[in-house]
Amino acid sequence: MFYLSYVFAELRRRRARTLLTALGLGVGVGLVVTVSALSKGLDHAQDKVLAPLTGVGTDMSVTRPLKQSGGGPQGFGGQGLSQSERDQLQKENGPQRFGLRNLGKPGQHFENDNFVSAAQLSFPATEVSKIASFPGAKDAAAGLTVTSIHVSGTVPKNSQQAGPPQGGEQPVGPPPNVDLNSLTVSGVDPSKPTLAATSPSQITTGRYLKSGSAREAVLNTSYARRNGLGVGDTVTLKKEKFKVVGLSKAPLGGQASDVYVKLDQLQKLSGRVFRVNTVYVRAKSTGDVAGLSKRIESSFSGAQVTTSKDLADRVGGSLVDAKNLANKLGAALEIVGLLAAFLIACLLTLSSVAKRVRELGTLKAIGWRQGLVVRQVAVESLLQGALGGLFGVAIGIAGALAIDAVGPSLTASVAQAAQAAGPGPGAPGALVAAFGQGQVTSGSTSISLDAPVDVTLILLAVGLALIGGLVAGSVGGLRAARLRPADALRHIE
Amino acid sequence: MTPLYDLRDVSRHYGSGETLVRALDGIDLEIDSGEFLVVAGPSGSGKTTLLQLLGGLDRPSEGQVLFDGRDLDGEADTDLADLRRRTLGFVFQQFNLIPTLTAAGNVEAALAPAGLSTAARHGRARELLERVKLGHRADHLPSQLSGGEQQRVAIARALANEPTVLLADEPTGNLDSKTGAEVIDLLRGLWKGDGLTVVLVTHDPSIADSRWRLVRMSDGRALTGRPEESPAA
Repeated sequence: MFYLSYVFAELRRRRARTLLTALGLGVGVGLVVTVSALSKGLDHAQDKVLAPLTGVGTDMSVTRPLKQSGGGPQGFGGQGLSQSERDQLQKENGPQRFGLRNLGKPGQHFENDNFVSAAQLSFPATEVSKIASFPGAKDAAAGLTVTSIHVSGTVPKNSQQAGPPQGGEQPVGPPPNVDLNSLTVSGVDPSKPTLAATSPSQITTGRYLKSGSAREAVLNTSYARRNGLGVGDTVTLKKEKFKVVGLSKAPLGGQASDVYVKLDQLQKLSGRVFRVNTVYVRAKSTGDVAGLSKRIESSFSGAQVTTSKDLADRVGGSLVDAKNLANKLGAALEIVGLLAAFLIACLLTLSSVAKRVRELGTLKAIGWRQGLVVRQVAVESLLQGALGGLFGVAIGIAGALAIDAVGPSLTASVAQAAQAAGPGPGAPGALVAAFGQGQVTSGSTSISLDAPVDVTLILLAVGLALIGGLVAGSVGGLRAARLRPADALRHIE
Repeated sequence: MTPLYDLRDVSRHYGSGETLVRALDGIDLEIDSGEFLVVAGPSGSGKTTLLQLLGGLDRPSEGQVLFDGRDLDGEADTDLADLRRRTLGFVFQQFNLIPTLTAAGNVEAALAPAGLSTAARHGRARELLERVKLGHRADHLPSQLSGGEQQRVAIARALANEPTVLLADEPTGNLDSKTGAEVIDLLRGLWKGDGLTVVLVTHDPSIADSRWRLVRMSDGRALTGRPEESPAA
């Protein structure tokens, strides 16, 4: 094929210019490959951190946090709560205060177990199926999270002194002869393990809860470690023993309770039969989340919807900073790099064509049509682009390998402040943290950054370079071919 | 008999106003088929401009250039390109060979748009180079050839598509007198042997054969447009 041999002859002859043009394109394309690989690495790192927050994008939880009409956090007997909320709370959590003298005579030993969920108003369990039937809802499951308070000790002589805090009262600490232990307990529906306070994917040791009547518990790994518990041990809730069958690690930014038991058992134990205070909902798609969330909030007075994305948004740290930077700067860097590469390729091609005006004029004089001349220059430039693409891939892979070799470490963290902030906007902060709600898992985790280059990226790089070459060649070729042959032949080289 | 070329009051201007240059100024000229026309004149007299108009490389500012009855100014660029490829052959003073292609490659460059098979193209290129006595130099680059050899390659390229007209712009201008004479001999042979119409532009009218028509040009005008006696070559 004459035209191709002519192209290769030209590229060989102008070797330095060919390499320079290809290198210019290659640097731009390499930059795009490296930045894209870095961005992909950041996505991977973020996915690794957020993966345990199952259903990010489609899952949400519905609660009815207490509303305070003013002032700071108050006990449910305080002035900050509406009468209806106070009544509901009192009904669920028992008497507002109990005096230690009611537990026995002074000097007598006592033990008392109580379950409170002072920060949350409950729903009838029937509401779960109602929510599940809303448009956009794929499934819904019930959940109940309460604080189990175990008080034991000796009735003091002066039993008028402060008793155990209840209903969100400011903790003042028990008297010296009274022990107070509290832990958060979540009831999960084992038939819907992915819509629950903990999911099978979070189990690090042992197994998940099985349906049936056996009293089983899954412990949060932190709680288990603090209390020296493991699989096979037992935990006691209101004098009932539960066998520990598994340990669960809550994701960073996710909700964690100390103990997870089956929902029906917790409902019965806590005196909340057919009552739930959390409904886990899965939307059919990400696009349904906003509408479904509004529908739920308008259908249930005081309902607050927290999406898994809200949880994911709590994750901060250098990983998120880097991701944000990559999102903002990465695209700009890629565009600038590509534009610069295209510009360099165009300028070098135009300059190269300018030096060949008489040659191209001669081709027209011997009968080459304008289109043929443009095609010849464009194909030359296209091959330069292909070479640029190869350079770009090599530069990009080298950049990605350098990032892999350095392996910069990024941290993802959830600050304590987020924990106190509760599950979403408008939540009664400290109350949420205090009672009846799993805790937001705070802390930080370190993750090593990589920069994976896949075939798509390589194809993209070569494609970009080819487009660059084609554009540069077409512009240069057209410019030269538009010259009248007589003018081109007069051109002095 | 209808002339092959019929130029009617042809002018070619460049620029405008005070910078207007009249490269050609009202030329009337007829060229018959099979004629050998020598256009002579000093530098800047409009010889090359005239040749470019004859070759469809440029368009007149005024007047008509009729080729075989076709007004070249009315032809589209692509039609002019096809006309050049099929009918006209060009030889330039600077040879204008493509430096990256061998002698054979340069001849093939003229054959490529014709859509010949690779073998036919190779064969035709070799044949033409043999004809100008450069068969043994077919694989050499222009930089490896002497000036005379390069011009002979250019003539072979001009003959590639069996043209009826050969337009030569100062073909001996960059050659020594001996090599120049060889090139003129070659053109004479093509004119006599193949019946080509040859238009040769030169600043040296002494190269003209007595059987050739000589047109002298000065300041864009043709001083003589009729056959005249000229010294024997």
